[in-house]
Amino acid sequence: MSKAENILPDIDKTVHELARLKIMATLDSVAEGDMTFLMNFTGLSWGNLSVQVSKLKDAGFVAVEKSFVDNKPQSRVSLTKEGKTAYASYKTAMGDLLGF
Amino acid sequence: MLQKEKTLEEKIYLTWYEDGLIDIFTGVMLLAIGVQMIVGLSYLMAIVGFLGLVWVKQTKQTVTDVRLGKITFSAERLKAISKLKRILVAFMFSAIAVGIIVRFMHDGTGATPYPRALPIGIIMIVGMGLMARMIPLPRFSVYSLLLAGLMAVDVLLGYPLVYAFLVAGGIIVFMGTGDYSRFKDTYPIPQERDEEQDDE
Repeated sequence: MSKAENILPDIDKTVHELARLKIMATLDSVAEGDMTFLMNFTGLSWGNLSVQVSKLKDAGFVAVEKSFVDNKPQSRVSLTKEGKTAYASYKTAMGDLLGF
Repeated sequence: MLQKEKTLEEKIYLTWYEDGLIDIFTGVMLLAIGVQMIVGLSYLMAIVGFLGLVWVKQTKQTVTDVRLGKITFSAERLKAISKLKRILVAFMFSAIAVGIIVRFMHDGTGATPYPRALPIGIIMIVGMGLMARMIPLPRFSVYSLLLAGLMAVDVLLGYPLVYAFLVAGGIIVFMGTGDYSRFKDTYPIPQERDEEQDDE
């Protein structure tokens, strides 16, 4: 790797994808929310939301807790400690990259 | 003067109040005060207030949470909500105390040299101002000014203050109902999804 490339901060690609970034930004503002909440505030379709939440779960950035409410399945999603750290690091790295 | 940009957390929190339920409740309370003054039913305001709070809580669960999604706010926000509730409860008890004092002062007959509804109106104006400031819901400043303006007009023109409560209450219920309708259009009931299937 050349010296010039080391100057730019590392950007986490898992967080950097727009849909996943929206999910993490939304979850960073609350303790947890269900999938309807995420769908409303990210504007993602249900299918895309499910896929992206799964990817974030595989990366260890979100926790998904399933339960039944009135006999209907409900998923509550929250950022894990690693997710909060990753998101905070991402914000710092983007700030360094963009100069603010 | 630049308005402070709201954080994402504040925007999410304030969305929870877009359903218009608190507006409808406030308007109904003002109407109840007006009706109480006309028919002389004591404690009508207390009964309506209690039933109104039960209705707001129930509708939040069956309409707002279902459409907007279930949110657990952060610990800091929950602490702020708890503080707000304590202040509003303290304010409510103070208002009741003022009402009792006004009722029995002036040689015990309840007759006053000023319109009897004036202290109640001032309490409602201050209460709405508190909500505008503390939640914060800026539209409640408008409601507060509306009631104050209508009361001033009634006093200047020599009309009973009951008109101010009825008109203000009606306008606020109308606006709250409009917000409620818009909220339901903006956030339709999500279609039932098989979450188990989505994970495959």
